[in-house]
Amino acid sequence: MKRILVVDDEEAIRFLYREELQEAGYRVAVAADGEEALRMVEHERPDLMTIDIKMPGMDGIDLLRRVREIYRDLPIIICTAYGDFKYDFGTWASDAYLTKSADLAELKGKIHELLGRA
Amino acid sequence: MTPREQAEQLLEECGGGPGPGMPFWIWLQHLAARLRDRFRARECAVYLRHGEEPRLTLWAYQGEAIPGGERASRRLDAGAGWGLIRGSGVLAAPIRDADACLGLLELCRDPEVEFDGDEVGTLEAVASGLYRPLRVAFRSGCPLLHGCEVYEQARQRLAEMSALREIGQAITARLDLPAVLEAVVAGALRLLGSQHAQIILWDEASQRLRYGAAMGPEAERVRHQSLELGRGVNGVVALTRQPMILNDYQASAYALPEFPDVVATITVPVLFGERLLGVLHSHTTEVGKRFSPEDLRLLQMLADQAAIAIENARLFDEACVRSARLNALSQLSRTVTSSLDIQQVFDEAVRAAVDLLELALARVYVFQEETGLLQLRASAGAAELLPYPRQTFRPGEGGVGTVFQTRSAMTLRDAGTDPRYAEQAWARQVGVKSVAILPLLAGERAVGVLSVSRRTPRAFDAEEIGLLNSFAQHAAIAIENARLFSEAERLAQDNLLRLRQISILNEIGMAMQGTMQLDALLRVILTGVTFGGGLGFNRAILLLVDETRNVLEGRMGVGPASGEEAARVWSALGSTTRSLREAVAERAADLGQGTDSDFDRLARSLTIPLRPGAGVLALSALEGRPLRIAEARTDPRIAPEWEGRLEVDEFACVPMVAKGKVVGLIVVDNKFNRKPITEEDLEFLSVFATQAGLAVESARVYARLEEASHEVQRSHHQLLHHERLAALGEMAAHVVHEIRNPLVSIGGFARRLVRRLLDREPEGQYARIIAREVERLERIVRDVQGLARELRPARVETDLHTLLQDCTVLFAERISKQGVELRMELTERASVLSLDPVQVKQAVVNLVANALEAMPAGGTLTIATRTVREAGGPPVESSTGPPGGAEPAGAEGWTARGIDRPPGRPPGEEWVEISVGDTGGGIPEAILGEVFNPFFTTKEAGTGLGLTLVRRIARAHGGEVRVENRPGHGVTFRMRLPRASEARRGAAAA
Repeated sequence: MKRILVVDDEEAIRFLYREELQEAGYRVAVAADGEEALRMVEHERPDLMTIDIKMPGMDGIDLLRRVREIYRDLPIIICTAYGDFKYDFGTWASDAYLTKSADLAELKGKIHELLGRA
Repeated sequence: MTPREQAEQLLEECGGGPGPGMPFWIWLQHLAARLRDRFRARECAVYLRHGEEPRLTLWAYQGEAIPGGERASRRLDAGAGWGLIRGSGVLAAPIRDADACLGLLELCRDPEVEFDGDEVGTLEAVASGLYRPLRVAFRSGCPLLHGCEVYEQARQRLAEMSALREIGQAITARLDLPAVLEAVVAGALRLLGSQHAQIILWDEASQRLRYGAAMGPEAERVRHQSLELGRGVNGVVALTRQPMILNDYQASAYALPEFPDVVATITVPVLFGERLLGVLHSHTTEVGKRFSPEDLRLLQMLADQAAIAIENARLFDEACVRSARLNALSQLSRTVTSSLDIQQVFDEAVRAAVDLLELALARVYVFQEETGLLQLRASAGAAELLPYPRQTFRPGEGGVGTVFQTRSAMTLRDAGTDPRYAEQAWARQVGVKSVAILPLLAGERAVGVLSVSRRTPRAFDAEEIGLLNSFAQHAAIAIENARLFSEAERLAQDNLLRLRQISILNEIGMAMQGTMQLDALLRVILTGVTFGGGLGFNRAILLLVDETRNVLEGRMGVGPASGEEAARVWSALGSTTRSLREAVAERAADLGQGTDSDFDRLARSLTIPLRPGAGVLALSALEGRPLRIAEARTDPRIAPEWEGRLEVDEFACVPMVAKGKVVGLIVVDNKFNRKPITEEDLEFLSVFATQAGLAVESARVYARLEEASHEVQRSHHQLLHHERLAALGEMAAHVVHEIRNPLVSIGGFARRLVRRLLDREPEGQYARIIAREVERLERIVRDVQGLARELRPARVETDLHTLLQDCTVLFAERISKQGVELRMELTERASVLSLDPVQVKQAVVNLVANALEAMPAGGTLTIATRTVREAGGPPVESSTGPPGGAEPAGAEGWTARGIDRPPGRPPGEEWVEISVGDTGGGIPEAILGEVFNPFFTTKEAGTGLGLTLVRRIARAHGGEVRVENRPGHGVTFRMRLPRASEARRGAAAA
């Protein structure tokens, strides 16, 4: 079973993603901020990460860079409420950039695509 | 001491008499000197008798005069008594004894110092005392002098001397001729002791002897005597210049019948050098009276003195006349130089000529250029000569005309018989005789003639002609001065006129400068043209050139509609003296009111094509030159449908030129007062029109500037509007972000509920509603975010066709559900472009969604691509644009701004066009312009941001989107993306 690490500072989002992705057949771990996420990556060894950008403390783009330094091939999806970060070079290191939506079809599709490729 | 003792003492002092060793005459000299001293006399003379002749000879003299001549000897009249002689300043004592007289002892001193009795006694005693020594001296061979003869001789001589001296004093003391003549005559009487004396003068001009002065019983009779040479004794003496005594007048050959009682005459010529001045004459009616040669000698001496005095008096007289003439001339000169009144100069010249030259008449004729005649301008003279027969002469006619033509003077001795004199008959009738005619010369040119006349035949002598010439000269100078003055005056008037024109131009110019509004300016111009204080035409029309239509368009007409109205307006104008500027200000203030006159309507109805043959106005505008039409009703160039409608005989049109281009035309006429339009009017109007043309051009430029300024203001307002929008957008973005996360949760869980509550009602229904509404909210949020964000395309090489296919896939379900036919016409060959696929996809998705929305019950959706080469491209969203992507509101599609070309884009650029068309009936025309505006929507579910976003995306790519509406059918949106610049931008972004 593939493991997905969801990083988001909003509990409701973490809960929704976990419910939905578990239902879709993945093992889901969640982290509420960048520090926790880095620790979780060590322990959980996820197959894919979704990262929110706007977070207290270390933001998603920093986190993305740090994770990439260690796990060069780990698929990472940036999920954000903003469209603007798409133009930030920092986000280019991600494998996908998605705008958050209540409809998780696009997210699931992208996860499936990335994990299937890996 | 008695006189005798004194006499003895005197003789003693002289040695008593001539002694041995001293000649007799030397002793007499000593004696004379001694006597002169003793009596304080001026002269002392000793006369002694020679032989038996009754003659005294001067033997000794002491005094100032040089002895000799008539003084050397004296005549002694026989029969005269022996005694002392006492005269004025003269004392003489005979040298005698009881019966014989040897000579005379004479003393002269100033008449004022009388000889007293003592002195007389002393002299007598000396004279007596001399007798003896003289008898001794003459004893052998010395002539004896016989007493009475000697004495008489002496007495006579004394009287003569005394008379001559007195006469000389009297004559020489006078300078005026009548007084001199009177003194001469009086002297003659005294000298000759006769009853009658007269002097007759020779008149050179009349060649006759005329009365000079006379005394005695005959004086009145001879006053009006006039003698020709050779008549009577006087005439003969004048002719021969030889003195003459006729002691038997009546028996002589020269006796005149008018003097029957004359016994003897004596006449001497009065000569000054060789020149005959007249004769001095005396006669006596006393029977037995004779004139002696001595009388003749004395009278001749008097005549000689008289000649000098007469000549002096004449010279003085002449000097007086000369001085009077000079005065008159200088007076005339002053008049000429001080007065510009030519008539005054003429009047003074003729009056001076008449007065100074004793003329009967003087006249001035002046040549008149206009008539070609010599016209009488001034005259002076005897009243009985009036009226003059001629007031004018043709050049060459009569004396006046001839002198004018030949420019040389002419004199006539008798005008009445001279055929050269045009007024011959009149001259005979009034007795005009001697005439002089002189030209008035200004340099080489004759400007008139001076004609003077006398009623005597006395010819004009050289001096008189000289004087007249001076007068003529002065008159000529006056004429020349007057001509120069009138010339100067005309020039000054010219200058005044020019000054007035310039000040009018200046006033109108100032009014024009103050007026930038075109209509107000046109009114100012026409007011300037028609106002009385301005150019003063009756009516004026202003036409402007419309270049786009190539016509002359009547813009305004000013002027009364009828003669009655004109009279009313002008009388109103006349009653108030308004300045041009006031009038202009007033008219300008009236703008908008009262402009609606018939004439104004006529003016505004004129639209004249600018081509040859379209009448005079078009001709004037085309050729850019003023035209004056004097015979408007018959002139073949007149076009009845344009200038023919002015219904006027004469009018003029002047083009207004600015920067070398004809911008309009001013048409003027004087329909009501029919004043002819002069060349000068036209010239003035042309100058004015040039100024007006510049003003019109300025006003037009100003209008454009104003428009541009308004445009800037509008843009500024839009900018403010957009800034507010941008601020709003930023706020919205923030809000939206905050909303988005909760929406994700709400929507996400709602969807989960929907799936869980699939078959449970009504809970399933509730969940579906929540999910749907969240979905709608998320769409709003997405659009707002897209709008608020600065769209910087992330360009990648993208196959446009693939992108479009992807989009249609998104709508596949809806397309089939709505029964829409999809037509893909992807004709673009080079479909790979550098673009932001996400943005372009978003745009296309929006367009497709709109199209499908318009066709709920089916239709045709056409998605096409093609290459377009077209001049003029869309405006580019510049990098300096405000963040948040403000763009001009309003209908700025190609449809609305088809002629605008953005800067920096060369024409003929290549574009790739993506079009999305539907058959949904099109957009109502009323809202077509609104469709790109943010938040404009016709859909209940729409955000109103869709098309705004589409345009922003297109512009972010350097392209544009336009809408092609076919009302009743459908609408096609065409998004154009530049190919060339895309490649460039792509390269820059990579």
